[in-house]
Amino acid sequence: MVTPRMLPLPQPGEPAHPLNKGCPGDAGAKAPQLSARHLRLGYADKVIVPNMTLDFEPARIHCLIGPNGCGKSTLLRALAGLMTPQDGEALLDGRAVTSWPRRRLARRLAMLPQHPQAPEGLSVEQLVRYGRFPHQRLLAPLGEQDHARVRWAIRVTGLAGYEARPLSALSGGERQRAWIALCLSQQADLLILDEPTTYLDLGHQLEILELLQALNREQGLTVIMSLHDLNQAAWVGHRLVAMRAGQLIQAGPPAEVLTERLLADVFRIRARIIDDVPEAHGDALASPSPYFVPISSLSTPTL
Amino acid sequence: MNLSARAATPTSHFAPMKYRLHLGVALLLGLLVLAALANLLFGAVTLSPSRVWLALMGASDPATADSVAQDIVWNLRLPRLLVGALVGIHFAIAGSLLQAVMRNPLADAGVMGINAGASLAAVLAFAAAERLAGDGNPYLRAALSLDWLPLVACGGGLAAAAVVYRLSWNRGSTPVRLVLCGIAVAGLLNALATGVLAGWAQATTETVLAWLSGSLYGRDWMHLTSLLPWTAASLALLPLMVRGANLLQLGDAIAATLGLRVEHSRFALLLVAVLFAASAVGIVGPVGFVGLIVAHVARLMVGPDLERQLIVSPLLGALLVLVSDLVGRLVLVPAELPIGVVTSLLGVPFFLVLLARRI
Repeated sequence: MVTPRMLPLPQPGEPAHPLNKGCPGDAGAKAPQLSARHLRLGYADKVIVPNMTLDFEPARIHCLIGPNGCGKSTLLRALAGLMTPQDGEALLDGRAVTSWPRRRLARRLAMLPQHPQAPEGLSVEQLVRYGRFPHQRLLAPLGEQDHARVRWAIRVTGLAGYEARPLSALSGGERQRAWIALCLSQQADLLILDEPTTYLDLGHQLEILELLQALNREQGLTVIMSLHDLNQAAWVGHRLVAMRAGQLIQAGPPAEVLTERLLADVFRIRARIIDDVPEAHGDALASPSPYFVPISSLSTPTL
Repeated sequence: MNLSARAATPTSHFAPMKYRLHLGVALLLGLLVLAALANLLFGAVTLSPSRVWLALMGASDPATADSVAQDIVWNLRLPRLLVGALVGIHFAIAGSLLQAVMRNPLADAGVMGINAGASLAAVLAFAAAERLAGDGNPYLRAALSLDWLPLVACGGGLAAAAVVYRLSWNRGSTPVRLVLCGIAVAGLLNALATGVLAGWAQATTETVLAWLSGSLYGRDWMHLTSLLPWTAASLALLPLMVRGANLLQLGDAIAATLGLRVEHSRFALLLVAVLFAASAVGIVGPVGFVGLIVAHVARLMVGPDLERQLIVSPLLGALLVLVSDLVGRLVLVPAELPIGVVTSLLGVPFFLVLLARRI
């Protein structure tokens, strides 16, 4: 277990969790209902996701798992309204995301794509301020509330004191946290992340996941993300969504989804499920035990 | 690790950046005033500061009036100075916007095909004027080509940019496709312009070449008044879309999820940039490198945020054009080096030094 560098453990008798301290204007937001209805996604004649129907639960962490190229990123893009479905629709609160006005959608839903690129020399604070765009009136400068939210986002991502640093001068984990801070300053109640832990070392991977976990617990943030590490997905996710070749194989609590049969089916691996405690994520900061141990690949190499 | 303790650390790191912006603006304004004064004083004839001052103020007594100085200052140097500064501002804003929208530090007005389109249109206009007027009436020819040239060249630049945008459109535009189409279209149009110039227009080749290398020679109040409406219109549109340009620098996906209508915003920004650049090209011809260099220097001075860059880059653009024009007028006295040649000669080494220092 890595010592959390940015999120202090809740101390007994502490009045408010530090995440909530100084967090402006979140009260009364309606829990978002995101769902996919007979979604067919693809580019030109290439269909990547043929028919996806799926509900996401508000205020829960959902982890999309599946092999490379199974359509996770495509599905996430469609959920964020970044691509028009060939058929069916992605609904947020009963309305197709592609028909939402972009600014209004941005106040409900934030997304972090896989390889975000910042212009050279952009500082952490400048980046995080851009998150206030959907809340700003045309020509109006940032107000006190905007600044408060920016400060809050920088603080909870552990980047206080790094405001003036250019993104290029940060480590991989810090940079990823800066991008998450951008999403947080956007003040959406739904956060979509495409492989947020890729290219980070294990410690930084857990940092990111713990941050998301804490935001979910303290702020009721709905999280939908794709993850490659199944043990992490099972540890952090309330629900796993297993996909293969654009098809939904199974969605549900980790204990139900992460079975030896499914691993063989989806990832073509033989694995042993060792510790299958259904409510392991109930206490999120409890030491996580691995869910499965890979034994061998089912596809034998042909030399 | 105590979070609240960390949060309490002073967050005044932004002060140096702001300080830098103010300092930079003050410095640039100072240099700009110096360059403007030098432009009024020096040239084929060097005027003393007192003569320039008296000429500018206008002598109360016609008997003592210095009519030569008045003529030089009011009819030659002042309008040329103002046109130069304005053109510099146009190129600089276009350069900054295009580099942000294209997410490409090599982008400038040339990449949208504006210079090439304006050149071809200008060459065609000269050739057509020659045909229409014939050799018998050189004055009509000159009038036809020179009076209409700004409009024709601007139109050519706009048309080329429109073609580039249309060609790059494939259910949406992307910066990479825009750049590639721009380079292809610019290459084609430049080849056509050269071809027309070589094969058709003989008598006016010299005039056309002078225009094609970019020049402020003989630019007067009329040019200034024809440029100002473009400046005003583009400047009025600019504040509405600067934030969009900032977000576009983060990539289309993030810009869209932050609430930006990406295609609308990109189109509007390109349109404004193209208006700035094409209107300036119409007046002075295809002056290269100003937008490119200025956008880089502005970014080095104040960072990638466009709200800051657009404060600095117009000043830099005006300064670069004024200095280049001064140099061009002084090195070959009484002949002139066209400003396009000078901006390349001054700008490119400067640019290389800048890059070398950073790496």
